[in-house]
Amino acid sequence: MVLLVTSDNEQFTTEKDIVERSVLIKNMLEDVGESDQPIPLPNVSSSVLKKVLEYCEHHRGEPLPTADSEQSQDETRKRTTDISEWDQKFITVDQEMLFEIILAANYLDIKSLLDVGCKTVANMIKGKTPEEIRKLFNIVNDFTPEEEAQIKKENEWAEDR
Amino acid sequence: MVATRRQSGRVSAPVPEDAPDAKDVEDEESELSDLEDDASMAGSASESESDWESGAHRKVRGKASAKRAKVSSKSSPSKVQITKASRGRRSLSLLLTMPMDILFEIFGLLPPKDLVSLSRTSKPLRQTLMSRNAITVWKAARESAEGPDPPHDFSEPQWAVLLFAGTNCQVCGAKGILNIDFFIRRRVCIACKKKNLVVTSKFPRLYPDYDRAILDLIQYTNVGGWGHGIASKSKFYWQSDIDDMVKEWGVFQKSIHMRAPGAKQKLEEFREERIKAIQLIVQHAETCQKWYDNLSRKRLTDNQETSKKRAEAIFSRFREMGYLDADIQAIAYESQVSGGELTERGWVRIRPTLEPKIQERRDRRVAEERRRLVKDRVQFLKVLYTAHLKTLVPSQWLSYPTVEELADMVPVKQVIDAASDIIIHGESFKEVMVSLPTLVSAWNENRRALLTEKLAAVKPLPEVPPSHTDNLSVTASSSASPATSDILALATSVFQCGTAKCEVNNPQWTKCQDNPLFGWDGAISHHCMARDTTNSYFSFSLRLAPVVPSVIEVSSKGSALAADLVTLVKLDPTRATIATMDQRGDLFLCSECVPDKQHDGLYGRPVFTWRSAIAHATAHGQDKIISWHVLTPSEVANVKRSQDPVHRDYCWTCNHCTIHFDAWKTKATVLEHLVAVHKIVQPTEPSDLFFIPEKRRSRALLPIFIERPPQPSGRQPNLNASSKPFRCKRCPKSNRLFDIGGVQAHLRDKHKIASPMQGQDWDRVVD
Repeated sequence: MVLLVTSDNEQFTTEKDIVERSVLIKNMLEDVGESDQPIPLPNVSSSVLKKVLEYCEHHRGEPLPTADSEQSQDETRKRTTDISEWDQKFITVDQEMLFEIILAANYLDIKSLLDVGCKTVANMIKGKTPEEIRKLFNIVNDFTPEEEAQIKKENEWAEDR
Repeated sequence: MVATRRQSGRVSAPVPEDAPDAKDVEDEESELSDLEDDASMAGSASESESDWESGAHRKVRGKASAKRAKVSSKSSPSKVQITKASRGRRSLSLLLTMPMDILFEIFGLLPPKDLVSLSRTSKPLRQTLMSRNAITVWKAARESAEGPDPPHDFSEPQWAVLLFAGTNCQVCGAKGILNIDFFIRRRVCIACKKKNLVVTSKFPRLYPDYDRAILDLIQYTNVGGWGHGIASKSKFYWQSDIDDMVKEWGVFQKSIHMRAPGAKQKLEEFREERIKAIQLIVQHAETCQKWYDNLSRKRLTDNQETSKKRAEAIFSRFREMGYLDADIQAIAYESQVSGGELTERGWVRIRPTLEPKIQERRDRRVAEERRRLVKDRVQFLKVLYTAHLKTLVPSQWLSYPTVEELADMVPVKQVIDAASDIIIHGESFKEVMVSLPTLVSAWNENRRALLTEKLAAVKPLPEVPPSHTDNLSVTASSSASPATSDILALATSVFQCGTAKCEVNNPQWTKCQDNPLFGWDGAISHHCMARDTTNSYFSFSLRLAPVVPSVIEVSSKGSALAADLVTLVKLDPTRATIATMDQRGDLFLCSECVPDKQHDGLYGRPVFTWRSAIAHATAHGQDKIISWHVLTPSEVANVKRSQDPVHRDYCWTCNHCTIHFDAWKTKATVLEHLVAVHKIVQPTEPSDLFFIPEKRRSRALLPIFIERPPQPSGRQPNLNASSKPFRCKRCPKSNRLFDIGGVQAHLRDKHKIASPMQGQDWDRVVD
């Protein structure tokens, strides 16, 4: 059993094969060896860790992506934004929790969870107009009308030529 | 390059105009404060790569620095509480607070069109997507969308905009511009092409100060805005491209004029460089055009495939609801059936529109099937009924109903109207056929009673039955004639068809309602026929179908005319029968017909039998009062010798066999038949042969001409001198004479008498 401590000092006891879906923790456990010492997770709050552990528990036992398989799958994975049914239900949370899960997955190095999070955000963006994207993510339109008109003509792309 | 995962950078987040006060913003931002410094630095770095206007740039930097000032208090004990309180309040974009590597992870999942949309949302995202690090994202997105490489002078984002960012005209914004002109590298509508493209031949007029050779340095297209009037090989140049080149060319020219060292060489180098560039553009455009053509074909195929799947999905849903394919075909060409994939929401939306159409088709199909079934059943009956009729003496046929009228009789109708799942065939009508004589007899009695009732309503029944009615009857009716029904044998019992749309005799373009039906035989031999509109869209292909039941009305005018004619031949209108009148064979002259030279060279006026005279009266108008003149016996004999219209009519049949059933012949043919088949050399009417009055009626109007105009005599109406034989009795001092219409009009107009009476209001003063 592994003891995890969140940023708000809440302790979670979980099984090793669940928590080892996080490459960060897996490496940590391998480095430290068998120990009763709690693992501090200062970048993850208890509510987010609870969701992350829920994900890990559901996907326990599944093979972890290796560097080779990751590379070979990279191209197809990148462009597919399909999400399995369970993952879709799991990730149906408010926007703040969604981004916190993404950050936590990034921090804990849980690649599959990070993928689910990013795909969800990508799906939210797909097919929307700039104005709809702004509304969705509460982005402020800081272009002046002149800049906006200029952007539509797309004449200022010189920097990347 | 995309940043590695643990070395996250972050785009700078601008503060919205309606943002909460500074403290709230700081508290929210402090949530990920451990990455804040890196993010700010990364934001600054990305800003330094871009060339945004300085004002906007400063605004972003100003907010960011205020944020950083508070980050130092990350160890504040109230941090956790503030974080919790801020959950759900999204006054700042969380997306913009994401580390750079996560943003790039998300960007990598987006197609080019969405990347363009994202780059147009805000300056920070634009800076991020326009940075050199993002080139791989754009490139990967393009390759994923199978887009061609950009031309040498285009950036990836610029290329993505042209290929994938919507279908609006880049000049006027018009929607739905699918075609890209890769030669001038623009997505523009036809109207803008017409406005902005300059054809080579117009260049000298528009730019008189410049050499035409300048056009060799500008990209061109062969597709102009006009569909005709210009040769297909013409080159079209975008006007602003010409303007830009003219400016650039002008700079070189100026340097040459200023005698700048190497100016001429620079111009030459520029010219060569541009010519090579144009060649590259043309080559690239050709490649792109092929790509686009393939893409269009693929899109078309995909759309057709999707549309097909959608249609099949819709059809199968209706099939599951129990509709047949034949009915579902009603919606095959509806616009809602084609389109994208069928969603549950889409189905709910289109179903109420489509289902009624299928139901309508189903109802129509069921009705049509039933109609055919009934028709088939009637056909079974018809076979049996025709066979039965051929067992009768032909003269009995007249009193038998048509098969449609038979099918309308209650016992027969019960068989025909049986449920569709009951199989009806010839045997099913066995009982009906057994009781057929009873049915027909009852049917005849009903009709006879009805006609008698109608006649009785307009004139009193004769007190004494005509003495020779039965002997002189033209046809031998199958049913016995009761005394009260002898009224139907009177010459004054004239009927007419009462069905408004009846088209019997339509080949002669006469109104069926204008044709008189004489007595019982005339009435029962008329069967109303109308155009069958149930099975065809085109009236010219419609056939006449029997109208059931036939409607027969009393013809008041016909009766009155008959009474006049009977009176004229010195018979009693209350007693004279049809048979008597037929037998007498009187012929009449119409006073209204003007003697004229006819096509066959004869001169004179038509003469009529008493029957055709009544039919003829309608030719002069319903309200016209006609005076008739009876031909003398010698005149009649003279005329009959030359012409007998009845003999020419296809209305005759042999009364000894059924060979003429439904195939009536002329009298001559039937006479030949009687001699040849039945060895009757001197046949008599109606025992050996007879004619069907109904069939004869169509020719009733054939005129019989006399060779010279009738001479005035004591008995003949003086049609020349006495064409105005009437006088108004209301004007006793006046000697003015009128014709019948004139005296009536005079009485109506001058004396206000709408219905003048003879003897009281007007009088005949000349015979």
